[in-house]
Amino acid sequence: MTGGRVPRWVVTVVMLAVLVGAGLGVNALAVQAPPNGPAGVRMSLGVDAVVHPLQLNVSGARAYETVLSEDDVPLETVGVWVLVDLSYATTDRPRGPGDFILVDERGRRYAITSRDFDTWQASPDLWVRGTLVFEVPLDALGDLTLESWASGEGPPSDTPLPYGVLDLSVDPGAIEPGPAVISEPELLPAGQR
Amino acid sequence: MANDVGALVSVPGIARWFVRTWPRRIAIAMVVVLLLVIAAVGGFARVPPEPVRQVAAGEVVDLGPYTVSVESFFVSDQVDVYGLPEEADAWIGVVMELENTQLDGLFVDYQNFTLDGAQLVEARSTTVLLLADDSRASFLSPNLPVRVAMLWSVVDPDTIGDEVRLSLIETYEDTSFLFEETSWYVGDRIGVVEVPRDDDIPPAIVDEEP
Repeated sequence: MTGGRVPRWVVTVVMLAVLVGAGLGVNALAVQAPPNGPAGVRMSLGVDAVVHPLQLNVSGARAYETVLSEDDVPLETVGVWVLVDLSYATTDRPRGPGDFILVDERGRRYAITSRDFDTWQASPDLWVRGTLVFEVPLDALGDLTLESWASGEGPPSDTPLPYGVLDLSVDPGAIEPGPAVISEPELLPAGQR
Repeated sequence: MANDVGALVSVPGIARWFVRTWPRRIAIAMVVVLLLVIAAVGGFARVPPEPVRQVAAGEVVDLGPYTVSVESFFVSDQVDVYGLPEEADAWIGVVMELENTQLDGLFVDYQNFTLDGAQLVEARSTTVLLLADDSRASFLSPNLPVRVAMLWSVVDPDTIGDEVRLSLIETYEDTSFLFEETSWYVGDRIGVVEVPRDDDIPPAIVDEEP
């Protein structure tokens, strides 16, 4: 070793200190940064809410033992059908309504049934009214939460996007026998929901 | 020094390096003794594979994300007529009940099921039909049990006997080290069902004659 050179162990200690310091610094910055990921937007029944890219107005939910498919066949279920009536428009361009999830008190998450019904498209000035059909077990009824997500997104998302949250109550004692007929989505006159 | 490199990396060179000092000799001796002890107590013996559990038809088995109860199978070319591959002659449909036990809805993992006892066109099934109304039932909602037929396409359906063997393979949940996301991974075969034949096909899934 030549004179004046820094001893090896000092180099090692300094490098370790720089590494640990950089790590702590990044951690501190990450804590300060605004939270990443989706942010819930609370909605109320019968009130317009803006949850980009949607404008939503949910009028209510009802439960039925059977529903008729688009071919007028009663659909069997071991659970119960929850129908959510809503109207919606978009905020930017014509698009479909995205993903709706019904969450029960135990945290179980139910997507729109894939068994028969189509979705439909709206645009910023065109409100469309329709019915979402969920199939849930009987013990899921009671206090439910409707979540509205941009298409393909969900809770694990890192994208800082808004999602709609609405408290919905469906009385387990008020299940109608049905069969419920799902009306075609309709385009609404200006101002109507 | 440079002249010694060839000698050092030769096999005798390396061997000599290993036994040059007493600490090294002792360390090597300890490793050898350890290996001998492990061998003496049977540590290198092969573990006999665990016998695969025989599962009775109708028994509920937990596959991880969902439970399954296998009932029977049928052979038919009258279900999902348009989905049948050209080179196949018929479907084997295994009738089963599936129930998602998670909080989130999820898709059926076809890796959970392998079938023996027929000449399959593809080893994995790709289709699950809901017996109630012939819709696709590959997406399972939490705690909503569904009775379905899982379909495998086969050739030479006449050679199929009164039983097929369905192996049930579990999946387990684990968290990815890199992305901190949990997902399901294929695990061990946890049971085999001798599935009895029942060609009474639930009428809702039988396609009308074209």
